[in-house]
Amino acid sequence: MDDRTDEDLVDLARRGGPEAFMELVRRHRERIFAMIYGLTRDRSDAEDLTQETFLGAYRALGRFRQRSSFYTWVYRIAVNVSLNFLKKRSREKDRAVFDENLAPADPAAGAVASPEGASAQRELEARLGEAVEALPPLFKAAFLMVVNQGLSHAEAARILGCTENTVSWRMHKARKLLRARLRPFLSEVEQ
Amino acid sequence: MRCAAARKWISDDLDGRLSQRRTEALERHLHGCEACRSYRRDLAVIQARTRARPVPSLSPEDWSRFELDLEREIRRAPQVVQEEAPRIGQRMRWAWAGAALALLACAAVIFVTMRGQDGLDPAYLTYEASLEQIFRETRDDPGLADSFDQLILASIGDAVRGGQSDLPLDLLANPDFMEGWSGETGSRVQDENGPGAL
Amino acid sequence: MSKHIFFRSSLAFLVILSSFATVAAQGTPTGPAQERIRRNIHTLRLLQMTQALDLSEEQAAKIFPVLNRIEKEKAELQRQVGLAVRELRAIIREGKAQEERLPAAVERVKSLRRAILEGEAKLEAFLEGQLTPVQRARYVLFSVDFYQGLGERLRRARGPGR
Repeated sequence: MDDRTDEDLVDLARRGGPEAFMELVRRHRERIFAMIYGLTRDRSDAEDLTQETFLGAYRALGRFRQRSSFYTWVYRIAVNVSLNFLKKRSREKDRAVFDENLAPADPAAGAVASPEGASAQRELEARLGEAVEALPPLFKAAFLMVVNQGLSHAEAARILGCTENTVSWRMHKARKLLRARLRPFLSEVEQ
Repeated sequence: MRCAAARKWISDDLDGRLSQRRTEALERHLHGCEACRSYRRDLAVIQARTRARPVPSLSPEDWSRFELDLEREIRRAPQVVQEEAPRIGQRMRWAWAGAALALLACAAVIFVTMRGQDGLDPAYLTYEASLEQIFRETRDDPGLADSFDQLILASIGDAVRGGQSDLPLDLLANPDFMEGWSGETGSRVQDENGPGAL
Repeated sequence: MSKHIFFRSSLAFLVILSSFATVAAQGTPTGPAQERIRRNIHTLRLLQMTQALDLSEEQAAKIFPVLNRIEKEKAELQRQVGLAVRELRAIIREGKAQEERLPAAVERVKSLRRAILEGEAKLEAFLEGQLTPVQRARYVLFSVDFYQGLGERLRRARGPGR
C-alpha cells in the first residue's frame, strides 16, 4: 500500500510526475464519482464529468496552494463541473419549474410504470429520485452533499463558496420543496 | 413560535445544527402543533430514503479503462508548472497602485464637491447616476429599452429560479416587499414560483 | 488578490468620475419604460444584495420595506426632476420673455436633486445601522459589481453595431 500522503503526491505531481497524480486519482475517484452521480443520476455523464474533474485538477495543480486538502479542492472542482453541466442540460431541454405550490404529483399517474402490486415504498423511492432530480441545481448540490455525502454545513459551504447560513437556508428550501412534491407518497408509506 | 420558523429549525435539527436552547423551544412548539410534527416526520422519511439511495460504482474493468483514458489525456496536457507565489514586493506594487488610484478618486470627489455643490457626499450619486445613463440611452431608443429590460427580467428569473438568492419565499408574500415591483416582475416571479408565491 | 484590489479601485474611480459627468448634465425625463426599468433594477438589486451580503431572514424583513419605500420616493422625485428639467428647457427656449421664471425653475431642479441625494443618504445610513461590519464592506463591493453588471447588460442590449 502506498503510504505517501496526499501532500507528498501533490508535490511530486507538480514536479512532473503523472504517476503521482494517478495515485491521487485512485484514492479519491470513487467518492468523486459518487457525488457527481448523485447530482446527475446518469452513469455515463458521471463518468465523463469525473474525467473532466480530474483533468481540470491536473491542469490547475500549479495554482493549488494546499490551503485545503487535495480531496476538498477536487471535490469543489467536481461540484462546479457538475453544476455547470446541469445548468447547460436544463437550458437545452424544457424543464418544468419546480414549484412547491403546484398540486402534488398524482399518485395514480406515473412516469415510472409500476407493476401491479408495487409497494408504496418503491413508489416513494422512484418519486424521490424524480423530486431530487428536479431541484434547482444549487439546492440539489447542498442537499446531496449534506444528506448523501455526510458533509457538515461548514464543509459544504467551503466547497460551494458560500456561507454556512446560505447552506442552511438552501437545505431548508430543498426539504420544503421535496416534501411538497412527495406528500401523497409519504402519507401512503405512513399508512 | 410561528410554524415557518419552527420548520426552519426542524431542518437545522436534522443536520445537527440546533442549539440546546432552540431544541427545547422547538420541542415545546411541536408538542402543540400536529402540522409541524407531521412535517418533521415527513422530512425524516425523506432524509432516510435519500441516504439509502444506491450509488452505482464502476466495475474494476471500467475503472481501468477510466485510468488509461485519463492518463493519456494527462500526458498530452502541458506540463504542470508550479506558480510562484508573487514576491511581497510585487504583490505590494498592485496594492500601492490601487491605493494611489483610490486616493486620486477621493481627491476628485473632494475637488468637485468644493465646486459649489450642496456638500452632500457625491458617492451617493452613484446609483442614481448609473440609472441616469441608462435612462438617457433608453429614452431615445425604445428597442434598446425593451432589450435592456428583458435582460434585467432574465436576471431576476435566474436569481429566483436558480436559488442564487436566498430571498425567503415567505417574504414574497409581504406586501411591503412587493410594493416596489412592476406587474411584469411580479408575473415573472409568480411564474417561477407558482401562484402561491405572491 | 492585490490585482483584484487594483481593478476594483479603478472601477470605483471610473464609476465615481462618471457620476459627476451625469450630475453635470441635467436630469433625464423618464417615461413609463424608464419607470418600469427602474423598478426592475431595484428588484434585481434586492435579490442580488440578499445573496452578496448573506442577509438573514430577519434582516431582509427589516431592510426591504424601508428600501422599497425610499426607492418609491426617489423614483417619484426623479419623475419630478424630469418634468422640472423639461420646464427649465422650455423657459430657456422662450428667451427674454420668460427670464424672470428662471431662478425659481433652477431652484426647483436643485431642490429636487438635493432631495434625491438625501434619499440616498437616508438609505445608506439606514443600511449602516442594519448590517454587520463585514456586510457593510460587502455592500461596497456589491455596489461596484452591481453597477458594472448594469453597464454590461446595457452593452449587450445595444448589441453589435448599436
